[in-house]
Amino acid sequence: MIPRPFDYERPGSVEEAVAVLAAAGGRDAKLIAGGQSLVPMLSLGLARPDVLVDLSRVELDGIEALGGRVRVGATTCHRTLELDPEVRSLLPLAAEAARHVGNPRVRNRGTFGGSLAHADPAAELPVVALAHGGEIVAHGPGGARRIPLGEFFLGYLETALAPDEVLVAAELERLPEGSGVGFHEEAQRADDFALACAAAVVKPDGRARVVVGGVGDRPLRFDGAPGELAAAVESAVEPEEDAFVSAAFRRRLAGVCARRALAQAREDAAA
Amino acid sequence: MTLELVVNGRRFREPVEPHVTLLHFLRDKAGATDVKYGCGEGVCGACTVLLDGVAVNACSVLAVQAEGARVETVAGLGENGSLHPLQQELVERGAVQCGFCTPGVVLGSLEAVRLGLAGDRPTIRRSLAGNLCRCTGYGKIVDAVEAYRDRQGHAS
Repeated sequence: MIPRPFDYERPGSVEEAVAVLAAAGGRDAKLIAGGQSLVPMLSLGLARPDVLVDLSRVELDGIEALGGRVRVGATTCHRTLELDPEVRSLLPLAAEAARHVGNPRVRNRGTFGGSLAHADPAAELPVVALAHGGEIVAHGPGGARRIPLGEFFLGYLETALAPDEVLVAAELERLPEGSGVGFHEEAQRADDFALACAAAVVKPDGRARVVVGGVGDRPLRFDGAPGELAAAVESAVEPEEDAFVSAAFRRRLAGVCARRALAQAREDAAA
Repeated sequence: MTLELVVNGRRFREPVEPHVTLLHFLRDKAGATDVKYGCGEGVCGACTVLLDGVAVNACSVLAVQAEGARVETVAGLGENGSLHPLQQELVERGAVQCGFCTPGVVLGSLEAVRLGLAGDRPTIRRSLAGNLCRCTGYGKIVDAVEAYRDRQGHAS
């Protein structure tokens, strides 16, 4: 299908983008970066914005180590996360998870900030971001605002971003030296949407963290002893059934993904 | 608005509405009907093109987002009417039946080989995720990509 017509703006800076959003008033303005979720949604009639604000002329990509954090620019594409050797050393969990996003062509264009702002509960990168913790940096009419990652994902396709804010970067907490990471996903086909996925971090002090995706309306975080987390995940999640699998199967899958991601993280920590 | 871009070396300057996808622009305005309209939602890979050298699904890019870009389609690959070596391998190994997925398979696999993501058969299969073939299956396509990769290895 051909998308419904909309107005189109291509601002040259974050400030201009914010001004366009603020000027939209009551009209539905939507930001587009890589467009790998949004353009199909436009074509399917699932998104019907009045104004599309294209960030392709705003330079927001790049990865930078900042002391205890790593700043990932909003328009850094999945392919960079997947293949860049620097990312593999700074953010190994993101590199591991990015391989599972969409397919190679989607990863060539889709962006980290776009995935976080879209907040699909089955998406991999929100799971990774929450596993790291840190802050989202958003710009609005009042300037920059920092949103803790733990407070960012509010529900299905819903975040703490205001309608006139632009997500410019995520500052992810670096994992302690000697941590191990793992990521496991189950999908019906290679590179399809996750039925369930899990990111795991095992820290040198023996503590672990698991974040699961696809089994709730947002990514869910669990902290505890590595041996107990998978069972905790399986008993805590309350997935809904859908056209593909039952709620009970999905709950089970969440536990399986958590267990396998944790096993990988322990192996990685020992390596 | 007016869109300027280069398709297979040919410059276009055409009025375009913002809601038109690059896929529709290429097929309807640039005559590039070798770019196939499959699913229209970024899943099947039939509409793969190179956008400034990077493989993308043309259905999932708005034409206006390709302003100033260089687009290459599968028709731009061969020289003087001859097939590209990967296309030749696909033909020789029976990896083409209806041919609808083939433009996407060719452009996607060329990128995978160029990036060194075609080292073994499982890796090649992974790189073909997002290229749906409903005729031959993937065995012969993987054979062809493998053969092309080896030919490249010998050539360099």
